[in-house]
Amino acid sequence: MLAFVLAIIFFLLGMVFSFNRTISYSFGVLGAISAVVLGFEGYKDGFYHQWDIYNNVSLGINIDKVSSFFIIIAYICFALMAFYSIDFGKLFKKSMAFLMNFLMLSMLIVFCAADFISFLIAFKFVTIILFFSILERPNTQKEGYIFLAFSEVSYALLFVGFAVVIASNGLFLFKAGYNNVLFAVFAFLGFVMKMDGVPTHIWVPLVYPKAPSNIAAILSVPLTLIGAYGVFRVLVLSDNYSYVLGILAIIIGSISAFWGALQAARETHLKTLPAYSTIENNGMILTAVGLSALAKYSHLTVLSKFSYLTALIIIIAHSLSKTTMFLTIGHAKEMLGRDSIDDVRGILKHISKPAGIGLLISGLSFSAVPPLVGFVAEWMLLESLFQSYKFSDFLLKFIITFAGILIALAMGLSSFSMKKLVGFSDLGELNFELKRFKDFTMKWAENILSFLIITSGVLSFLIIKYLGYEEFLDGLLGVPKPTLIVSSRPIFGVISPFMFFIVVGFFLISLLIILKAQNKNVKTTIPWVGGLPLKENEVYNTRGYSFIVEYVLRGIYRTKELRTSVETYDISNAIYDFLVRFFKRLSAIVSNIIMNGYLHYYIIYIIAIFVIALIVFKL
Amino acid sequence: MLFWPIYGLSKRYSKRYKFDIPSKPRNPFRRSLHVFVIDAGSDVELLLEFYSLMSPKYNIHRYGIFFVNTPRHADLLIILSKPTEKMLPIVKEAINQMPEPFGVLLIENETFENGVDIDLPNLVGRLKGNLEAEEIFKKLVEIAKRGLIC
Repeated sequence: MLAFVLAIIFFLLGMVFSFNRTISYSFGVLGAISAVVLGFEGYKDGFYHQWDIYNNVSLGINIDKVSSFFIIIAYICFALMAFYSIDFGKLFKKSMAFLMNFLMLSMLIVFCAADFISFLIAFKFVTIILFFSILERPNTQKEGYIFLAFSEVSYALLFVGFAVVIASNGLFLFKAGYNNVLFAVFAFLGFVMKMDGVPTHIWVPLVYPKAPSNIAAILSVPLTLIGAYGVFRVLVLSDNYSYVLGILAIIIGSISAFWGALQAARETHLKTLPAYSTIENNGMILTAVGLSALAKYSHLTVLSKFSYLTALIIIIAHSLSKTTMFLTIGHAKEMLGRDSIDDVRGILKHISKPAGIGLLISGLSFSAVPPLVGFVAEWMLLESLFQSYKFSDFLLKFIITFAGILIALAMGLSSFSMKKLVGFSDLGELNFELKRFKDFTMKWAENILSFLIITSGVLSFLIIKYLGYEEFLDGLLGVPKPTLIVSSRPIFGVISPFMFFIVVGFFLISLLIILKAQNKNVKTTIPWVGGLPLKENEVYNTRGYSFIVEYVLRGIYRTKELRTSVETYDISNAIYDFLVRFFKRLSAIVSNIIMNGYLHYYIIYIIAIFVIALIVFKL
Repeated sequence: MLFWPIYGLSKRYSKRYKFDIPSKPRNPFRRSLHVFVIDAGSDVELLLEFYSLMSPKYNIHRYGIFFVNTPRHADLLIILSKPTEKMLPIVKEAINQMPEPFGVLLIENETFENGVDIDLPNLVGRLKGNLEAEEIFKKLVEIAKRGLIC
């Protein structure tokens, strides 16, 4: 509890000292570390306190296993983002330090709230602060308002859900929504919208590239964690309806994952690609949670537990890797001032080693390369989807198998897109001039995050043990006892990232020594174009890389080959484009009929309103 | 007459391959010479002479001499005239791109000198004077015969 108070005090101090960015962000780091400590305390003991204010109105703090898990993950990322911002924030206004501390404070309250009032207030603050943070970069008003519009819709859905509970039993606490069907549906949809489920994801690729990189990382990780947290809570609270919600979660999740990966495969913008990847990862989390709910409904306790654990591990993988990716990309982007993957090249060689290595490791993690944490997460998800044969219900079997196909496709496409992002931006040669600035804390934040991705993958058995799922740890053949992760009881599938690391690490080191000893002469040259340096359009670019998928899937992408370029389109935008056209047409018709500048129309209109008002109020 | 698959298999497995291992290492370019030409500032006279090598009169392909489009496929780099200042980086890049082992043949202009003196690596020949196509042809055949081991 001391940690909770300390965190709040540090965040408040950070807000007060926002005239000095270094001090402010440092307080932010301290506050985030206190919040992580609070999470660890809460995971062990749990904490609940309730203040009855007036009649039925009561406020409360509830730190149980779910919320402490989310606090730990979100605030590890927050601490590193704040540390990164000590140097990065100097490129932006002082208000960003204030906003970031305020955001961390409000998000802590969102995760700890046990009642609707404090949850909604804190949630509103999160939305507003993020809106202003997006506006930190000039000329981003449009994107800010798009973000605000989608946030408001999800907020309205939550509001309706909570209002239903308050109307039905007059209580303001989350637990009062137990087995309330309207609450379950509205809150579920609201939170899924917060997780960028398809088709409400279209704001993501528009807003992320425009927002400053640390804010983009916040949008991608802690903000979507709120959605995931809400879905966890709602599913726990609605036992009777977990069948419907589970199916809904699996369908939305798998489609989101597939769609996100598909769009990432064609993307060439430096920050839009990770934005689509965020949609994909959130889809995976949603699928795992839905599967867990369905397994629980069908009394498959082991599978339910395993897929719940899968969701937790995917959350860890997504949070750490996506934070690293956005921070490293921001580092490169600010130094070069360029947006496209083709323009940002040679991060590893020219910009900074930590940024290059961080981008490489996070990309490898998303491409599920063992023994990184992304590999563990994706293996666990596929493994739990493979167990669909255990369900007796044919419909469930069919849905889960179909979801498995979509998820597997998404994983393949995601490694395709990550190869594009890392291969093109990390390697290669620089074409533009660098704008150097002080980046000490940025480098260290990137180093720590890379280290965390590797260690959390290699030592994933320790994480599983800490989370309290020891039944999924075992030993087999030469692998010692707790280092083997098993996917079911009796044993269905096994993996040991720890042993993989040791064995392959050994082989890799010996291979490196052998290669070093051979000392081959390797000459690298540029392509021969008459001996001249290459022009921009003569280099093999990302468009060329992804054209194969664009052409093969031209039905989905609506690929158009123009004379010098290729155009594609995200067809989920079609709904919104249709709405925009419809309302424009409608407003044109209305303005033609009523507000067309003829005086007698106005007079008829006023008299009609006057008569109607008279009749209505008379009656 | 044997049944054909058995005939083929027996032929395949009973055939003895003989390798004669030469006492000296072989000249890797004994059979052919692939040439990349770079015009680094030559006069028209030299160009006319040089490109008449490609005419049917000389028919240099029968000697195994081929012109290629990129230094990456070439054994011999022919530089026509000493490189001018603007052509210097291009010549250097061409030399950089040649696969090893390679040779360089420099053919200088007779009439005017505007090139820079550079140290050419693996220089196998240097021609100057009032050249005719035949002399260049002779030199190329000579290089192809003796090989490029330098």
